[in-house]
Amino acid sequence: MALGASAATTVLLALTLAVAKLVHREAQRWRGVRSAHYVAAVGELVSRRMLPARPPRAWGEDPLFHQALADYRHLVTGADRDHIGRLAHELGVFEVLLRRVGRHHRLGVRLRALGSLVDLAEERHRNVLRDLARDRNSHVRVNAIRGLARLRDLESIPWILDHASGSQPWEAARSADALVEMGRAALPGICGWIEAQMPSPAASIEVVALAGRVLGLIGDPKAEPTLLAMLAGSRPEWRVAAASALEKAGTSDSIPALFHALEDRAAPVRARVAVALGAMAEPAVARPVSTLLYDQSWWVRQNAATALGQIPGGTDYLLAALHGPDPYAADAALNQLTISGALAGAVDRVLEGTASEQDRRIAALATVPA
Amino acid sequence: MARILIADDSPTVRLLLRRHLEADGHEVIEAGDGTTAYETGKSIPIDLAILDQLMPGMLGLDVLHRWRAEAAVFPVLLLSAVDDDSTVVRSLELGAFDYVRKPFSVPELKARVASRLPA
Repeated sequence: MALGASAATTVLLALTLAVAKLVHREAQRWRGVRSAHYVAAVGELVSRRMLPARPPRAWGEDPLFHQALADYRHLVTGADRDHIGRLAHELGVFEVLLRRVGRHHRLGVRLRALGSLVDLAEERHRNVLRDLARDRNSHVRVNAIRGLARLRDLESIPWILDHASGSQPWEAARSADALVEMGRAALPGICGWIEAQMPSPAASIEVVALAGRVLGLIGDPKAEPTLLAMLAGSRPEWRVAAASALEKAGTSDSIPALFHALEDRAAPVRARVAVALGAMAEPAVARPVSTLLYDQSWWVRQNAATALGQIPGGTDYLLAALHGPDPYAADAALNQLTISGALAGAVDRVLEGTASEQDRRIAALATVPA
Repeated sequence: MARILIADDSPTVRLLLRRHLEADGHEVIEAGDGTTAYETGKSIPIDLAILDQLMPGMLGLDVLHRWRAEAAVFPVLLLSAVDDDSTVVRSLELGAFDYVRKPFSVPELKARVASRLPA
């Protein structure tokens, strides 16, 4: 009897699971159909610059319609984008979204509405987003900050970075990274914040480093003075972030400071500086970088070897290390020549009879099976 | 009237471009991934292709490279959200006639396409 009850329960559970799967699949299929219809409708309305004469009320309420508008908005610029804003107004989308981001709604509803609001927001929604950036829920805050960044709310930059300083690491990182979307316009705000924080004993080490990372992601050389100040900063985290950022935002004016940082007491800084100098690929940096082939840290040696592979004339230093007395430097050099394909290329050219003297020296390193 | 291939994994992009290009009187063929785009360009005569860069199956640049290696001469425009200069340069070196970044102006894109189609 117990066996019978157990079998019946199993069958019942299996049936329930099967029905649930069917219902879910059907619901997903219906979502896909609705979404495709919305995409087609929005495309038609945008391409013909039309506003629906009698807009179906359900459209403005449907998150899938909001998503279709947002998807189009991401794709197009100019008059098409303006028309999407008009469509959103005409169909009452903003009223629905502003209502649904209210605190009395479930978090899932709020986040979905906020995601669409961020994608569609206009200047007049700035204050709503500022309020939501102070919400008690971290996911709401992060999304609202993304919206402020999209609206290029430069006044919010100090607040966003201050707020990040008191947040969990994931929230701080997401909030700081959102600033990248503001582009070059954000530079004065971010640089000013970093320069004010660095002398302060209460500065958040991680967020100053994150802000430096953002400067690198924006990649504008106007950030160079701030990054050079970070490179000379008191924290190794700041110096690593600065070296990393200078790879994209640095100019040849950074080279003297980067040379100096080759002797930094922190190995991660030296390793990162080698990468930055390698990216600059100026022949004059090859000799200073080559000194790091003899560094006590494996990572520093490897990064130096990689950098020398990028710098004109750097291969000479790799070859010198290969034939030198330091086995660790030789190892780093051989590793780089192998990974970069220089070894294989040299062997090929020797076999073809087109090898240079340097090719022959490199190919001599290869062990050819009998 | 030209036959134009639109290769993009986003149905929204394909639909947007289809509507505008069909409104101008062109015939549009769609491909949702790189492999389909490559096969279509190889097997069906087309007058112009609009290629996304980041697609499943094969990247847009790989599709373009293979077309050119097989002597396909129709004009190709890369349409992509990828913003780095090396991708732009590479696409032009491989023979794309233009590179348009997303988000894009639809009238501008249509004008660039029209400039490469036979009158």
